Amino acid sequence: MSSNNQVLSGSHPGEAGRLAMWFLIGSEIVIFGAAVVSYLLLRLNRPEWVVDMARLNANAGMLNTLVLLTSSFSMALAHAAAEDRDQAKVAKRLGLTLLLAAIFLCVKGWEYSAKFHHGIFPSTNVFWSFYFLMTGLHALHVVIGMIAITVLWVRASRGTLAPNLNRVELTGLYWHLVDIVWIFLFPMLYLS
Amino acid sequence: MFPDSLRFFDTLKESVSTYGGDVDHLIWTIFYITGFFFVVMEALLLFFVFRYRASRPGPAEHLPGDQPKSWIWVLALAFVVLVIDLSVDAMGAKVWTRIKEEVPAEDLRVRVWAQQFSWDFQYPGKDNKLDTPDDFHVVNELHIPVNKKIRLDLRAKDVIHSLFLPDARFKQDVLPGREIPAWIEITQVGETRLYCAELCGQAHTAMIGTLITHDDKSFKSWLKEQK
Amino acid sequence: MSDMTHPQSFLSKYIFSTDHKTIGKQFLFLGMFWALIGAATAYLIRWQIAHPNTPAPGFGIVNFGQYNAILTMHGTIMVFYVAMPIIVAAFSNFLIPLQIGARDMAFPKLNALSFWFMVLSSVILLSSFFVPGGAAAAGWTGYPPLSADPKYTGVTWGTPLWLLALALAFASSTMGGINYLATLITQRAPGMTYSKVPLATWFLVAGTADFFFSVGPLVAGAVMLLMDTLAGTGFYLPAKGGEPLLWQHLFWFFGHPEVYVIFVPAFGMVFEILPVFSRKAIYGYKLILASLAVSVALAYVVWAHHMFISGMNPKLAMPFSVLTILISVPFSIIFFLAFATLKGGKIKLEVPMLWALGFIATFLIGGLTGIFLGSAASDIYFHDTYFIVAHFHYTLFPATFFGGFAAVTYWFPKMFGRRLNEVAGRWHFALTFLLFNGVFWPLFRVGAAGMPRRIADPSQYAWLDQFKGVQSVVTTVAVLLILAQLIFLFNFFISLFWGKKSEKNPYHSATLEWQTDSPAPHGNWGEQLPQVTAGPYEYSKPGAESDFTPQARV
Ligand code: HEA
Ligand code: HEA
Ligand code: CUA
Ligand SMILES: [Cu+2]
Repeated sequence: MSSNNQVLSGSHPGEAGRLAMWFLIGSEIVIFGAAVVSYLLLRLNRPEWVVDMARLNANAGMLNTLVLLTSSFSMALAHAAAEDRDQAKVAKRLGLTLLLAAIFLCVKGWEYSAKFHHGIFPSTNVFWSFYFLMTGLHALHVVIGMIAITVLWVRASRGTLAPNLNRVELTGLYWHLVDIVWIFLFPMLYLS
Repeated sequence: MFPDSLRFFDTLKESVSTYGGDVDHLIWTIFYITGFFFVVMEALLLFFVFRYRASRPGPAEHLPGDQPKSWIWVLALAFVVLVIDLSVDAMGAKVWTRIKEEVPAEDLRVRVWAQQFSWDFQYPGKDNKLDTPDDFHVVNELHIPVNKKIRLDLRAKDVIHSLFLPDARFKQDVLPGREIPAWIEITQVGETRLYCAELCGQAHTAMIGTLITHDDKSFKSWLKEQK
Repeated sequence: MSDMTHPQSFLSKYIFSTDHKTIGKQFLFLGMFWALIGAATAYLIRWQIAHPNTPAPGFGIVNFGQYNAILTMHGTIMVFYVAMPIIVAAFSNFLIPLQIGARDMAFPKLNALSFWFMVLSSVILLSSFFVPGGAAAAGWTGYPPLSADPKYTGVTWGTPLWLLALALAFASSTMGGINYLATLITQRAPGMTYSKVPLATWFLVAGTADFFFSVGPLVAGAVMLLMDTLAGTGFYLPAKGGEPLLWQHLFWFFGHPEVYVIFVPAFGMVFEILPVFSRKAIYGYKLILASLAVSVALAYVVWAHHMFISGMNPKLAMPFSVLTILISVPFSIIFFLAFATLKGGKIKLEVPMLWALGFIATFLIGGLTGIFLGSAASDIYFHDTYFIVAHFHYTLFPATFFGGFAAVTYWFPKMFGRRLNEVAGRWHFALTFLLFNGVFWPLFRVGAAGMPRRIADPSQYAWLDQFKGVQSVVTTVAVLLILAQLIFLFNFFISLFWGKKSEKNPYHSATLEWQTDSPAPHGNWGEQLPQVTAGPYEYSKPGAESDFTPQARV
């Protein structure tokens, strides 16, 4: 039945997976893109938002940008290790990525709680609505990415990832999306 | 202008505004264009079904139409459609610009407040200025003089409504949080229909008023009666 | 994978199946179930319009709040829970792998998940009828501020549940969409080049592409609306600094492509049927695909034709108006090529062909009346009148039901291995065709008189009295239209169990799906994948041994 197994699971399993990931990324970009365009259109008529923006902690944002960029880099390294089929290295680099992602979330969480302390909530005004909407959606994607990376990391450290090493690449694609979205959000919310 | 017997839209009442005729002319033009395609294509469909029925002798013709040169007639027809489209566009653009883009200098300005579920018309009073103490309000009745350019400043207090004056061929959504400028000029004295065309809540169906057009004299005396 | 060798239990075969054919049938049954509820809502709407404030038999008085909720649910159900499952999900699932010679979808498990998301979504939408405050009641377009704050409608839980159900339905369609696209690209049988892919598959995938890249903005928009209703934000509320038109842009950026998501696949299935029952090749296959690509692309840039008089900058209206009317060019090409396909054929009026021809005849009316609305200046008059109600029923109904019945009657033998009853099928077609036109044709004239849509009580408008007679005839005809569907339902379920057994290829079709057994076995093909040698529409080729050449010998 081996020839049939081959076709049943897709004639080019890697290719289909990569395609699917690109379609998913495409649709995610449209979601974030719509939020960004909506924000920018409203922003045009609302110069007073500058005051609110000034209350964001640009240093924390900058730190998070660096953290996320680094995590993208370690993710790329994990992919390289997966190409070499070196599971131990994959595990190490995924672990690093996870750690950085966790730091990102901690900083984000600290920023959120500082805002809540100062009485700033999503309902405060439309700028803050957008801030929490977009960073919240983004954080949700970070969490989803972390879940996927954790699964791979556990398997890689146990040495059982061998048949599914291509998933490191797919998860990496997704993780870069998460990174790129942040690179748009950061200047738009914190700096402009 | 058009033969009565062809009037599919005999339900479309005569228009009573200066630009109403332009809208109607556009509607009728589109009607004749699409009507032509409708009749020809439905007839052709019936004809084909009858003419090429399976019980006729001989095999089906072999016309795969897979060569670009066999597409020429299709593309030529499509080009005709394109030309028709563009002329409809050109004609429509003029009408649209006149009604929605060029708001002329007004003889009277009325502010329209839409709210769940009534219309409140704010008149400028004697000084002819809005937002002064002599302003007065009328509910669900829009009184205007005939053959005068009336500026309507549309505002909503709660949700989105839409001011529809079908006989004037006028419709404009009314949004909360902003003012939308619009205008009408009615050419016939009398009462016509006015209602809300945007779902705005439970009693949307009851958000009905009247447009009352006076001649100059009776408008003046109506004004006098108002406080 | 091991399914092919191991016997399957009832549960894994029929309920938690990952076989694309089973999932396709599950979507079909789900859509049929919702069609019954959609029909019930249509009945209540029609009753209230014709006999306002008198008790509807079987329900009672429909009050204004209930009317708005029923109307909202009618639109939502018909579009997202009838048309999408039947036209898009059921047939994408069932047909794409069979037509391109795959054994299954690229991601069978994701596919099954997509169905179960839709079931969950259905449960939530159904339950929203029964929560305190009732179901969502701001129209299927859910414009805020009306939809955003319970104080405007009295609806409390209905709106969030409606949004949640829609979100799950979108997630379901997205999972399905990824699958359809990836399957077409990666799972084609040997020899199945892109220019040999049948039109139904192309049109299904094109519709999905329209869905896939337009739904994002509405997802973002829906999250914002949900936050406005639940978290006190004011994205759409001017009182809090927000912008109500933002929702309309996000909704229609999706909403316009969405109507093509339904219409395009239906036309694709019609194109599958025309050649078979006229024994002719599709005329201009490649030109059809090119026109399809143009219309699918244009669908992204016309959304504001729903907003001409919304209060957006009037200068924007003209570009959108021009682009909207421009769509008639690729559509006209598609129509002309459909006609050219019929010309010179041997047209056999079997039931699927009747539906296909009926689709062309009725959709033409819907398409042409779109021009009245696409021209911004004449839309000033028609916007939000019954003229539009008639326009979109003349487009959506042909797509969903004429297209749907064409597809179901044509592929029924392949799905279930049995034949439908031909006489019942003809009656069902004739009645549906006549009664459908009887319901919606008069509404053009009612709309031209200025009757606004979405009004719960026409008796408040004295001038509508002239249409009392028309309205009550329309309602009676609508009830008959619904009853006529019983013919179909009986025919369907009786034939499912007791219909005449069907051969492999009862209509002598050339496409791949007809070359395997009826019903198609698990795994679709025997040991060997089909080797595709011919195009999808090689009919009546001079010199060929029979009047059609199958795409492959299986
Ligand atoms: C399957 C669904 C479907 C389809 C295919 C269409 C197709 C079209 N629709 Fe329609 N439409 C809806 C479903 C659909 N619509 C719905 C549901 C709404 C209402 C939503 C709501 O508010 O609730 C709506 C509303 C709607 C509006 C908004 C009206 C308003 O609210 O004010 C407009 C405006 O432009 C419009 C235009 C068009 C046009 C130009 C086409 C074109 O694509 C049609 C093109 C086809 C042809 C023109 C026929 C073939 C061509 C020829 C035979 C050549 C000859 C033609 C010419 C010379 C012009 N539609
Ligand atoms: C696909 C879309 C679709 C379909 C099929 C229908 C079908 C019908 N619709 Fe609907 N309608 C809408 C989409 C649709 N509608 C939308 C989007 C709105 C706007 C909502 C809003 O304003 O918010 C609307 C609004 C609307 C109104 C306007 C109300 C108002 O503005 O106040 C009216 C009034 O007459 C109406 C009537 C009907 C009737 C009588 C039918 C009849 O044709 C129904 C007949 C029923 C059936 C035919 C179903 C039974 C069939 C089966 C059980 C078999 C199924 C099996 C297979 C296909 C395999 N509809
Ligand atoms: Cu106001 Cu409807
Ligand atoms: Cu549209």
